[in-house]
Amino acid sequence: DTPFDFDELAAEGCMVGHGGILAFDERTDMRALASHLLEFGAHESCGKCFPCRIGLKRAFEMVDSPGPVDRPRLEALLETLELGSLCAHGGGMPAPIRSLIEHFPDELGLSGGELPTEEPEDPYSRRPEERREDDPGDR
Amino acid sequence: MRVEVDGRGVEVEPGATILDAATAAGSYVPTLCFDERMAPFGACRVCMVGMEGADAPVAACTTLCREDMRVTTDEATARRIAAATVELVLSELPEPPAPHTELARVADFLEIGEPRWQGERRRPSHDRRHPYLALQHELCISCGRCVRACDEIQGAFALTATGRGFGSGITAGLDSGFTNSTCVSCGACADTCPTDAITEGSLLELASAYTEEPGGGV
Repeated sequence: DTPFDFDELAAEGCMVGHGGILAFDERTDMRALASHLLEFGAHESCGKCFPCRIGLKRAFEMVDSPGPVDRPRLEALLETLELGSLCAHGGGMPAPIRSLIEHFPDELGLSGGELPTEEPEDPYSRRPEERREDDPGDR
Repeated sequence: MRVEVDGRGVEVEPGATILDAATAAGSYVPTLCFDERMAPFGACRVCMVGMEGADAPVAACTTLCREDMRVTTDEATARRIAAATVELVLSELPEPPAPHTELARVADFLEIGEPRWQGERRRPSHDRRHPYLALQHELCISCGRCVRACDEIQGAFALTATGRGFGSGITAGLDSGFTNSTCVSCGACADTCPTDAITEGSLLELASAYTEEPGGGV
């Protein structure tokens, strides 16, 4: 029902991209689709910049592994890819993944619910003096 | 032209990068793929800084200064991206970087802990064919400094980037090792390498003599 145009798709959290259309029916496993997209992204990475070279591989590994995908960790990785990458390959890969997260969160098997706050909640990235008593941390 | 870095004004020449300005202003910006003796490369994305008016952090080494530009080197988003990037680098290495390496010092500065994203690591592969230049491929982070040093400083063009994506690395000659390439054994590659991927062979023997683990790393 959504017109295929820039503003209309952007309003739905999607994008025109190169203008191609892939059609999937309701039987498509969206987690498998996300995994396929990330496998493609990781394979096509030229390897020059660090976020894309390693980050796309890690994103694929996260979604390709069995079990729930930790949403805050995936979101932090997507942010790193989007803002840190040298070009639009790493920079653009998060967009379709975020679109899948927004429209098919249950099928993706996400856990951890909330989006990360300004600072990542992961204890490993906190300075020692900021850690709470019950943090596992990395002593 | 005048630019402001972390609240301090500096005068820079046209063509200066934000990293040049930060250095002039006395602000430390962590880098991995940068070497002042060579042209900026923009690969590591660790030198991310905040720039007023930009909607995202910018890479300091490859962003040119403009008149009255305002830069914050420790801007929160920039540092978060830089730290996550170094975290990703640590996640692909088979062991933590040796304390004397530039990588270890940058990781310390950014307070990197155990990487949040775990997965496949680089496979050990050692090339000791050359009498003193030792190549440990699993420690290479594909920063390109050795390739650029051999191109820009020495002009021997013995090293090249190889592979793609996660399989990226460097190689000497046509995967033939330093000795069977145009290498002139100047050691510029070992000098610039921010890890121990290319290092001097006798240093490896010296280091393992002092480690407690059998066959321990450098």
